[in-house]
Amino acid sequence: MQSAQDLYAYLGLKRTATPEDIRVTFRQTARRFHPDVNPDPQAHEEFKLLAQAYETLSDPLRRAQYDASFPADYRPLFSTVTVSSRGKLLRLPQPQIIYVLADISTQRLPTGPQPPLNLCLVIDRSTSMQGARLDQIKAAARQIVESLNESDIFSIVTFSDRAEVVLPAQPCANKPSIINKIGAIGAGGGTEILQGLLCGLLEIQRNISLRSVSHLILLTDGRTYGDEDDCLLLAMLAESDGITISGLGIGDEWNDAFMDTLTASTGGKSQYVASPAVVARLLSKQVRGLGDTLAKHVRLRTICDSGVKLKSAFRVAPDAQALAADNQPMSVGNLARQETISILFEFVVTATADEERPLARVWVIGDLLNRSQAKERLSIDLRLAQTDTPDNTPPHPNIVAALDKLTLYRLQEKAWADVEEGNIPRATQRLQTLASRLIATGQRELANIAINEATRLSQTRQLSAENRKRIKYGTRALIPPPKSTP
Amino acid sequence: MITCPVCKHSELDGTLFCSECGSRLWGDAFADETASFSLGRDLPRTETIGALVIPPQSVVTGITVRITGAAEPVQLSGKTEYMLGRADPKHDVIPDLDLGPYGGQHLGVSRRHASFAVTDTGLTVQDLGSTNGTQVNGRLLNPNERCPLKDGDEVRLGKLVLNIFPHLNFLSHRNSGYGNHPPSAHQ
Repeated sequence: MQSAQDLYAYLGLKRTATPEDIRVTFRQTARRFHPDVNPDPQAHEEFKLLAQAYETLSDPLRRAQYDASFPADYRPLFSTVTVSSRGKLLRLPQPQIIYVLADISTQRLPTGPQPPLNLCLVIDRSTSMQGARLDQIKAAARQIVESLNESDIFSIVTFSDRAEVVLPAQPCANKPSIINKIGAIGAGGGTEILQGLLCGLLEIQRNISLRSVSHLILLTDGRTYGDEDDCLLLAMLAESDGITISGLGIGDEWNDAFMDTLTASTGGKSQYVASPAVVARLLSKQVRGLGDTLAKHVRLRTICDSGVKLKSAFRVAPDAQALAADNQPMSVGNLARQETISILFEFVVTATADEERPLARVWVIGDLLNRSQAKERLSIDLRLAQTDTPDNTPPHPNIVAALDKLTLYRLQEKAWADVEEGNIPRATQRLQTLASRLIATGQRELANIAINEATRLSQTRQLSAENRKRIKYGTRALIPPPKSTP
Repeated sequence: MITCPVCKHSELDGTLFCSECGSRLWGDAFADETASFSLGRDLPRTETIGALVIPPQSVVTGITVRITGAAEPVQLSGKTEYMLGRADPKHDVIPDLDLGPYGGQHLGVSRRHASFAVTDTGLTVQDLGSTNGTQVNGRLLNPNERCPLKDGDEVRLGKLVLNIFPHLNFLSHRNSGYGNHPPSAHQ
């Protein structure tokens, strides 16, 4: 597929660039990504892309053709604002940390109606779901059906030890009949997520199109045993088709770490449902959000310069979620209208003698809905001026705000890891530290839970599954969406 | 590398929050500024100089300093003047007794806070114009005021409490009863 892309912007050139400008700039940039210089596995690909862009722009005939084919008033789909923790890189002999916060949004307004949805609910109907849980989910499903447009494609899969397609993928035309089918769902059996996931993805795949938003919502209250790895593999396949998966975990028994990995690899999110009563609210909010999608399957590909390493990446907004930095490209989900996807990168950087230090190139790639030629891409060049004078100006407030809360979230993650390692004293101490920091930020309720958990842990060496989830999702919810960057 | 002032964990330069304990690793709570608070500003400043109790003939050969919160006392010897403060290599401040590792920054210890001087008549402490002041047994010294010290005296730098035990030449270090085993009650 041909993708819309501004080659001039890509090479860092103006449209009026002279052939000499093009040659010099290309040489400078290509040097950064030459496979002999740059060990990043992505560098070779980047080098080839640069060479292709240069081939087009350096040949007068091809450049003229390109210029003619490319609208002069072209505005990229994505607009980005990046800030870094330091205005300038201090030339230290040792490696140092630089944080970069990239806000990705779009200035374009939606043309035409909302995109049709291609939505599948995958519902756990194991024995433990019996009663309020399943009743609330069924009520929530009915509510969703009511809210869907007739052109939306909807399907329902239930699973226990096996999976059943309750509602094969179809336009949401005959709502009473769909609602009847939801009513007939009953509980019984174990929890095998793989079966349900597989069935649900097959239903979605029948109707994948460039114009619609494909999404699977997994609702479960239990753990799946032995098929986690296959589930993650399925999620990767879903990601390559641009299907996002989100998970709602009900009660305390489900495996949140698994659900996080599963959903994050597709750009989705996991949510904790403490009480079945809120399922309907969370579900309809999710479905409403899907309708606002402008670009789907947004992913980031980061190619570091040599001497730079991406240590971590975290989606601060729209839903706080750690991203797998070593898994490129990273899927970050859908971009909705008037929304910002905000990613916090943590780089380990070694300074150089040059005036400027290039850090990395980040590609933002996404599929614009309502377009036949859908793929849009934008590259951001991250670079910092270098200095020998220490600079004591405080880091950018947006970065501080994000990191401040992210640190709390990571603190609790570490406490659980300590428990897994059997290091109870360290876990206890960490929970106490977390509690005091939570008090300092005014989060008394969460702080109390952390203190109780610390006490329980030191006395019984056991954690409460409920409190563990409350602390995890509670601290995650503190991570603030970005303020508008000046 | 930078060291977290609270948990002593090492982090790469540029890190903004300690990954172990979440403490802030930048700005006034960390980097260069001494935390400032109004401590003892309402204490009466007197011109009275404390009585000299060290016998005039004795010579101070060293000092044992017990720092609140520290497991082991610190021994100072071999000089006639000792600077107390927080090390800051960037500004060439290298105190003889670096209180940075004892939470000095949070407790309001300035980079150049106070000094001990060994004179013929004994041991004295002088405030070096610190941000939060120096107190001897609860009395706030004027900036640059010099005050004699006797065995076991409490010296406060900001909020950090020290107890001072001079080694005198007519008593052997061990027989003084303080050198290695200073009294635990020091508050």
